[in-house]
Amino acid sequence: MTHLSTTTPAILFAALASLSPAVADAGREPSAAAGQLSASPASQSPPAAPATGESLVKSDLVAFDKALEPGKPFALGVRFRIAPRWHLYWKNPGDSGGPPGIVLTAPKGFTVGSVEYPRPLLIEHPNDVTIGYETEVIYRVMITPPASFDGLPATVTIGAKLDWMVCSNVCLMGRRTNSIDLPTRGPVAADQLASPGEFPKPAADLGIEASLDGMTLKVRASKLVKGASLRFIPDSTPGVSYGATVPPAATAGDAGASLSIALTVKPQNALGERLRAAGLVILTAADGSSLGSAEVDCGIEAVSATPKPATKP
Amino acid sequence: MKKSFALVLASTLTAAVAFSTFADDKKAPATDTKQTGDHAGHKHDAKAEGEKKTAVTKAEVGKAAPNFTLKTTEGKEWSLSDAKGKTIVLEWCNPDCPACQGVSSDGTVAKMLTDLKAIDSNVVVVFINSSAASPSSLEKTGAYLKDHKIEVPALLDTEGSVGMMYGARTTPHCYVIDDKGVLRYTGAINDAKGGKKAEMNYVVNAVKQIKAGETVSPDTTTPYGCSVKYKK
Repeated sequence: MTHLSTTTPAILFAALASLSPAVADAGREPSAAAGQLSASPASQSPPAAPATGESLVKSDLVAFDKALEPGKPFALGVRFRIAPRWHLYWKNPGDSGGPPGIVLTAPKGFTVGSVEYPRPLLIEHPNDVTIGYETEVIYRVMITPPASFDGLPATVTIGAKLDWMVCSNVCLMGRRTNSIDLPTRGPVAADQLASPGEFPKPAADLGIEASLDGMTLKVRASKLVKGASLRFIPDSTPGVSYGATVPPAATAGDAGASLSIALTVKPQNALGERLRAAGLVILTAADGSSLGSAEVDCGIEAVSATPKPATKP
Repeated sequence: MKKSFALVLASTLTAAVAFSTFADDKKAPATDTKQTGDHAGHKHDAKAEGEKKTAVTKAEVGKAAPNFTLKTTEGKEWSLSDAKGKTIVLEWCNPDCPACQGVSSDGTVAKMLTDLKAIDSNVVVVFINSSAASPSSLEKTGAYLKDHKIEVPALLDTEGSVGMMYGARTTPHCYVIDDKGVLRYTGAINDAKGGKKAEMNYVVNAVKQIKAGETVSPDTTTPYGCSVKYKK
């Protein structure tokens, strides 16, 4: 980060930073973060406006697939570009925060899938471990067009109503509507295309196995290269907790890596949802590069209403 | 950067919040910070943190709620034991947090107070601000309650010791203590999730079940909102 402006925005951010001076982390330079964002190039005459959820996060819709085809799911991306040192959230935000609200609208005959989340980062502070994204994140939503394009106009519009909580040392809310026009005949424009980040693969493709052993979740990656790490990032699973917001990772030895995560299961807190131990398993090479990720989901059945701690064999 | 991005402040205060919940009763600091991202500056001494935490009695659902004494925004002392024999609701709140502003400005808190009084006219509700932003806490917290017509004592926990004792991690984060002094509920104020409107206020639900002599269910949910801005 060499091109940070330290002009007017420092003032506005001083106000924000003063909300929590004692938690301000010098290493994170919050004023620089806001500075970069709200400094307009030629510095117009009006004083800089305070950083807002909108000023810190740009959003737009992009295409991962090159063309709409009848009846074939089309990968649409909801892209957020985030000011340095601020972050947005994964579906389970961890100790605080929350994922963005993404509501897509598509023309009649199109179906809209649910939001899919790319591989997140852990964002760790004392007393607060969160799971999310810095710099840029593109959430994915599959859009399935009708089986026939007869009668469709030359372009269709997909709309998005977005709202989000963006945080660094403090949090701000933002909201915006975006849309994208996609051609029904021919390829999407080059400037509408974006490359998807890392989305989960089938667990079997990565040699990942997950199972329940009593009230312990076992996750194994037996072919994981020595020195690489295996980590389980819990999903939002009401009634089921994992002893830590994100349990510690395991490092692979000669026989891969495995995790044993003791579950606390309280059916009375399931909020009507299926009891399950579920989350994202991420593999990371010793040099920090990704070796892929996969979702695992183990249903929990027949737990008594007043669970006793599992007795260790 | 387009100019239009830097305009709206007012709307951010009332923006609908998309949150998710997940069950996690006790959290231990993660010990492995190795990740693909550039988070070197964010690491902390998890061990020291853990030691600090175990030094005090921690609040736990089903057990006696630990007593504490704090000063209100008006400078009076308030102790949990003062409200002995009554059902007590603690709501962690930081006036600077947009999630708290959201539940206050959209009427969630006001309705909760009305509903609580209807169920149990003796219920005691207090706000606790564990934010370390002390210079602004006193005036802001008082003004915040006034602005939102929330007539409950607001306690300042600038040192964060009570927040830590109760494991408060977000604002809002709510606790319900029954008339025998037992902690019966901890977690979110309601089930607002993923941009959907709340259907159940968990605090009202807990007080209702306590009043009826029932088991509180859910007794633990995942609170949502901003992190508590503890002193470092």
